[in-house]
Amino acid sequence: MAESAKRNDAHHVTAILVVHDGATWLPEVVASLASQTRAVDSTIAIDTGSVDSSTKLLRNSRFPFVSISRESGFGDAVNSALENLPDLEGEDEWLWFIHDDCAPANTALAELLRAIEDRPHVAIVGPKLRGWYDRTHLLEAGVSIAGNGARWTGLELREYDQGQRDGIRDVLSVSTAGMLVRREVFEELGGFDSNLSLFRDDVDLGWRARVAGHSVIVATDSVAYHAEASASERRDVDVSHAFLHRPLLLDRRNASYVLLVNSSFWILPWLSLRLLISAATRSIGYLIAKLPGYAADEILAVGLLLIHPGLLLNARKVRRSQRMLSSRVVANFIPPRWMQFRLSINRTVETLRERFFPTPAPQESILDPLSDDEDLLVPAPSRNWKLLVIRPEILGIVFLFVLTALWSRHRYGSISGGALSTTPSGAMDLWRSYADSWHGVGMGSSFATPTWIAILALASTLTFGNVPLLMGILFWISPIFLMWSMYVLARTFTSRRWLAVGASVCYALSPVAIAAINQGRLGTLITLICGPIIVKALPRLNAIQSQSWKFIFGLSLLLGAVTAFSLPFYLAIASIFLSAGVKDYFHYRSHREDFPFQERISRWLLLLATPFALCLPWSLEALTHPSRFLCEPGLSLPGGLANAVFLGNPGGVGSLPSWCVGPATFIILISLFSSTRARVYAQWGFGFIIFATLISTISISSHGSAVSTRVWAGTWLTISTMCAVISGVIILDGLRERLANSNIHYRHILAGLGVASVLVYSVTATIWIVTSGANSPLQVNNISVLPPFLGISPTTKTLVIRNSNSGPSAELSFFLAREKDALLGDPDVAPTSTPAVDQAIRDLIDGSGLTSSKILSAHGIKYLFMKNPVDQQLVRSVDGIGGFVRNSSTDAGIVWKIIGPGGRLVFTDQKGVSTPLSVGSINGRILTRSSGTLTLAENYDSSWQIIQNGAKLVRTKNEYGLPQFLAPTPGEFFLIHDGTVRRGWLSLQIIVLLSTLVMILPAGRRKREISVEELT
Amino acid sequence: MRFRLMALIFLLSAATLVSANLLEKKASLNKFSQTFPASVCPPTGAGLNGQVSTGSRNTLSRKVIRNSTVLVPVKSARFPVGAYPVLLEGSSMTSLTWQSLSSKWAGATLCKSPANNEWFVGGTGDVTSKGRLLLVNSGLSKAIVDVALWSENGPLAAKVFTVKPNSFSQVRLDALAVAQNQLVVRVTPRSGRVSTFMIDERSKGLRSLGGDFVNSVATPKTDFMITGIPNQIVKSRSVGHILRILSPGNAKATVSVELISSDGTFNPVGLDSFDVARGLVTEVTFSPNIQSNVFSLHVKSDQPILASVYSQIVVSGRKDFLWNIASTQIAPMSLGVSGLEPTLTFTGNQIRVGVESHMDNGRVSVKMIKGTDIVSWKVKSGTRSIKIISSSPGVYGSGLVTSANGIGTFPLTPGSLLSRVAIPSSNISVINR
Repeated sequence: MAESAKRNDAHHVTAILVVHDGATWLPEVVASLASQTRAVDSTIAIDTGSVDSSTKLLRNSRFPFVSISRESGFGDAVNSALENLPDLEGEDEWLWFIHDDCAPANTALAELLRAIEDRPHVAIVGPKLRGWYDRTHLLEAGVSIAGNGARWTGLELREYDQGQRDGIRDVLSVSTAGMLVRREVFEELGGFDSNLSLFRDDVDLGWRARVAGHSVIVATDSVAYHAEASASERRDVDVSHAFLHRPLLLDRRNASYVLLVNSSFWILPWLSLRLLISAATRSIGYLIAKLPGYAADEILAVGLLLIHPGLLLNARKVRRSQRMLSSRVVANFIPPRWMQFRLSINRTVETLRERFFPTPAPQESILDPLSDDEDLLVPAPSRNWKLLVIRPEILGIVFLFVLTALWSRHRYGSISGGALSTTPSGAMDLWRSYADSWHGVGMGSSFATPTWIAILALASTLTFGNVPLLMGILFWISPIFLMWSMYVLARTFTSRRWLAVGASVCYALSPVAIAAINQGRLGTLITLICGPIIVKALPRLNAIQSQSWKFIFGLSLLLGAVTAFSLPFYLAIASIFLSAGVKDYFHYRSHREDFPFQERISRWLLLLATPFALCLPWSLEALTHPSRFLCEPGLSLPGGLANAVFLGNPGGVGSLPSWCVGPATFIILISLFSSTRARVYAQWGFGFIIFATLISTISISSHGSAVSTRVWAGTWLTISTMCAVISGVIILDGLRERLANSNIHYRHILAGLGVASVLVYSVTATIWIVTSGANSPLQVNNISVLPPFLGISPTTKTLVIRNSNSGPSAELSFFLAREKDALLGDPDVAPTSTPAVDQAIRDLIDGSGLTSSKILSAHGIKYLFMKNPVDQQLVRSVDGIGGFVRNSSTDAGIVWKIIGPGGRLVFTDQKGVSTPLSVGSINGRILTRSSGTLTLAENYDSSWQIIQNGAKLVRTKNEYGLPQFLAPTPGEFFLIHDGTVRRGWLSLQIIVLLSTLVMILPAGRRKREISVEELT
Repeated sequence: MRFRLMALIFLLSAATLVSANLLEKKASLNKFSQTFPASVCPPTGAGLNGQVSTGSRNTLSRKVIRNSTVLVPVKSARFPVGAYPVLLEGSSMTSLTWQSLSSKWAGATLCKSPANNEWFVGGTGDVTSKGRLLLVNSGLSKAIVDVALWSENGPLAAKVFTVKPNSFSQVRLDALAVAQNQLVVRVTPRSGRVSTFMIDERSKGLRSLGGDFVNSVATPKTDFMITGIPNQIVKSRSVGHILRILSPGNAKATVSVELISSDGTFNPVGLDSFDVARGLVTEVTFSPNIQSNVFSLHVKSDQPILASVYSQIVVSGRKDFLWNIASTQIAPMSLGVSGLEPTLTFTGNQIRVGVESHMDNGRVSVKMIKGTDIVSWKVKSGTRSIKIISSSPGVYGSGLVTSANGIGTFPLTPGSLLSRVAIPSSNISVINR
């Protein structure tokens, strides 16, 4: 034992073993102490109220030991040991701190003493710490603290010890596990800080020793193996200072404490700020990693310190009395920020690399070790470019690329037309529109902006905020996207690449895809692109109860993204999920015992609710306007007739002509007779065809149009088209072999007809696309409807009257424009028409409206613009009715100025004289010189407020239903539209989105959940 | 089993398609408002007598004068018109204006709704001219009117007139086209509710040479009919007529004229084919050797042209003249003729025109006018209004009114056409490119 070890130095080493529920490691620790090549001169063990067999083990080891209370910290234990040690006058006594989970190598003490032999200035020396389980894992070779409180070892993640860090060098501190400290210095410094019962006491001691003029070194020839049981949460932290007994909380609290009490006074504000920011950042990180406890620890740790400033002041006072050197002496040991940043990046990259490109396990070879013979057997990798080019995927993409280049020849630039409004130039316009609580469209509305606006704004980051470019690229490249997404799906049903590519190209050129692109149907286009990816995930829902929450939330996010563009899609998918839920319920009633109903129904409900919640508040608003569940984003454009829809063509302007019939319905009808799983998809497809056909007979008015237009059935046809493609792929996969081995019967004929219909359609559709199909409504169009001089002020309202057709089918329409044409999202938030304005315009046009100008002016309308081609009779009617003064007559059309105040905000004094006031597009400051009433020419909304001297003016409705405010005293007023509710909803939406993202991201593990082998 | 499935699919498909087609409503719910625009009758000039024959005493009217906006019933089927134009409420009935200068001349014209393009082929700006152009703005905002002129010397400088709201402006022809003998005037309002009338009145010293309204045509044409030209025979010879022609386009026109009368149809000598220079007002004098007291001209040209016929008539020993303009095909219309007994002349290959006469005493009679080439029919005395209820195709017509003061003619054209105005609806698409 110790006595047998040789002692060649003049030091007296007392080992202090601190034990706290360490029975797991204690036998090895005791053994290692006993087997030191340089024996420990004396040993004392302190047990801090262990409840396991630690005391028994200590007793067996015959170490003298003292038991103290369970709440005692490491410093308390050491102090207790010192009280029980004799005072060795004249001897160079050293204290060697040993944790109950730290086993020093048998030469550890000898090497530590050798390191201090010629270094009398050294007060503290520590060994190199390696992992307990993986003994090549380098844990520490000296320790420091970063400016954000992180424990800094300067090592990479799971660094392998190859001696790369070896040597004796100065460090800020060493771990208390294996720390050898001169007793005299230790006592001079006052031992461990009593405020640091556990964790970071080592850094604090080292820091204090440094500023007291002593050296702290690490001697890497001395090695100890440390299990880090407390830090890795392998045992409870019962110390009295540990609030809630949470190791991380105590660690972070102590880290902040060490920094705040030891750092120079003048950097304290910056340091505090940094601690707060880093705590908040780490909290967010922990929240994303679904570790809310750790996140709370971070915040609580800083909070605990801030509520006890006296503690910090006292500690700083003590340190000031002990300080011999400037605090700057430790500056070299504090890692600079760039080093922390670089290490973080390295760790992140390494983690991601390992996740996505895991290091392949070495291949076992029968010829192992590698011989020259084996080398000859391994084929040399070579690239045959010709084979690559004629791959079906590449050919499919090239074909669609060329086809799209011709098809989109009128779409190289800023596109608009069909259902797509003019695109604003910058992403900021979209963000503003999304965040605004009031939209200056027509007479104004407070409708929630649809979620797809935010998605587009976000996506335009890819084009540096250039939204027109994004839209141009999206519509241009969408056929290739469509092909690729369907290819991904088709490959799950067939291994034949040619078949998968052929089916994908057919999908990309399906009638619904062509119509969606030509008509600028953003919602259907996104459904077409994302649909196959969603369908690919659906079979997994058969066993939904065994799907992870991560998968469910991931699918919900994808469904939410599509729902944001298309509420009809949500209607379809919700009906599927609801029917599945109902089916499960009935199944549960009959098989109550062995059916995981709760697991299934909770997931179905989540799939149903999350996409809806992700689109709040827009989706919620749709519940009060149910027709929106049948509407696409953008302008209201009529769909096709029911017969065309039944044949898979959604119709409408820009869709395929009736002579070009898609094969989808035919394939679905054939597949209904299939005995394969094609039948299942065909049944769904047939159901959606029936639904789409029936729904296409409905006409609704929405999206800024009072005219009822036939519902566009494209979204539901998208689903049936997908089903048709899948059914076709399943049937055709291996059909040739099956038919070749069977006698001729009706299947041969049906297969022939099916293939022929696809071929005929492909050829005719391709020809149509590159010829007349290119003249679609969606084109580059840079000519503004509104003459430029009417767009000088956003507050100027202009009534635009326009003939959508000429001749007997002329459709006369009107709308109020403000400064510019309708922009993306405007139709979706456009208000329902204002009855008074509508009636005034009708009266104006039929020549009976003697008060039309008065009513229009009262609604803030300054100009009437009749766009060419104008109806001369109508012009005469306007000229003759009075109140309209011709302003200009150009090629664009005729402009009349409407007589009257015509301002957005009109002040009427007590004599009845009305004066328009200059005010911003939504909010603004105004000034009046007398009392009267302020009339706002916007639709009435309870969020409109005018504030004078902090008080809200009384709001009423005027004769036209416009908001009117009584201004009893003259002075300064502020007009605002209170967006608190909108901001609240947006906050909720962001919370839902973040929560969903957190649930999708890989979850972090608490340290106690990580295996000890992995940690040490 | 397989057949049952087939039958089920077939039935489901058929039921869907049938019900969808039955349910399908026409999406366009566009509504239209059909109205007759209000018409305007010309003011009566100083010294003249002017009456308007309207079909009903309940017709609402108001003077086109600055502050007048209230419509009141006319109270009589024929009422006098003063110094201000009269606006009549829109109706299917076309009112007829008759103006005369005692023992000097008389003329007729239709009360008409505003037009955006009117051509007047007639009038003169020489020393004999007392003619004038009446620009009536019945709208409540000011009117800006472009007046373009052509004469025997070619196109003249166009002029722009501003007419105040609810008022009229009178422009003398000799001021409009100084010393120009042969005029063609085009009136195109830029803004306003403008109805234009032209009076061609001439005198030599104190001696009146007669006068008449020059009625307007809407557009130049390549093939048209000038109907109901009165042919006065003096000493077995026609008094003589002048055909005034303008080719307003960029090319000369080759014109051929066919004369249609009860004496036969032929190309008069010198009128069978002749050239009309572009932009120059050309006059061709002719005296047909026929005994019929009315005839029509069928004018054909290789370029769109305008033409009218100036005819001198001696009434009660005094000279008067009238302008016959190109007619339009007969279409159903109503015409107020109270106090007048016009002679209607129809021209066409096969004429079958049904006319319903509404008498002052409330009786209604129907007359089917039949014939070939040219037929005249005089409206009976005591007729308040006539209604053309049917017509064979290719029939043109005009009316001729004679009185002790003179003679006047008018085209058988509705003064106010039924207009169809789409009732507009709110749609944000109008501000989309």
